Amino acid sequence: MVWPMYGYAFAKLAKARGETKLPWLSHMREDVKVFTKQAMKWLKK
Amino acid sequence: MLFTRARLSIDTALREWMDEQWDWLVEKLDMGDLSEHAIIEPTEEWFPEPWGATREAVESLFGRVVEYAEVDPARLELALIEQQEEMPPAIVKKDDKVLLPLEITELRDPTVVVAILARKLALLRLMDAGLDLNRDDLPLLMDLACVVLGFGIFNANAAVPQVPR
Repeated sequence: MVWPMYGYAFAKLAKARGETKLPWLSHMREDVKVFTKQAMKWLKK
Repeated sequence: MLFTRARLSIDTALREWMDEQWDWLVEKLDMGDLSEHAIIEPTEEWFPEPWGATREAVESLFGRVVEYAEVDPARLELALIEQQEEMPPAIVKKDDKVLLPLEITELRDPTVVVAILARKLALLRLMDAGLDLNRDDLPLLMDLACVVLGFGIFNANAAVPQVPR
């Protein structure tokens, strides 16, 4: 998968886990972090 | 404009594919409530053994990944191989064992080793669940399965920017 897909996948994972703050995100490369935060916002709308 | 609209960087068809496969993977991998599963992180807590490109270190790392992937280690054998001209198969079934070939050139970075092994074990879990290996979307499905299984950090960090693999 490419980074934006990972971002959406991690946002889905966070939602399924009921997480809003993601401590594990700190281990992620910056690009994927950005896509994950973007996808989390999209899933919340 | 003061506020920007939330948007996704993947198109609708891809998002719909991911939504559909996500639910399918959670069911087929028997994950149930994902909040009850850990997310594996590249930390000493998860991988306390020191790393070096030695057989002992690789076997320790392999043991950890197999444990976290919830696969019976008795079924598996890690096969360290020289670099191949063509990509080696993800897994090889041999009698009652499953061989996981790993090129020794991949041993430079333990996080990449975890990503590769996680992908192989995700495939094995999916094969156990009856996955059709002829699916066109198999490579993407294996990556998504790694996220569902909690290994996604490793696979995302090893991923390429835009070209799906």
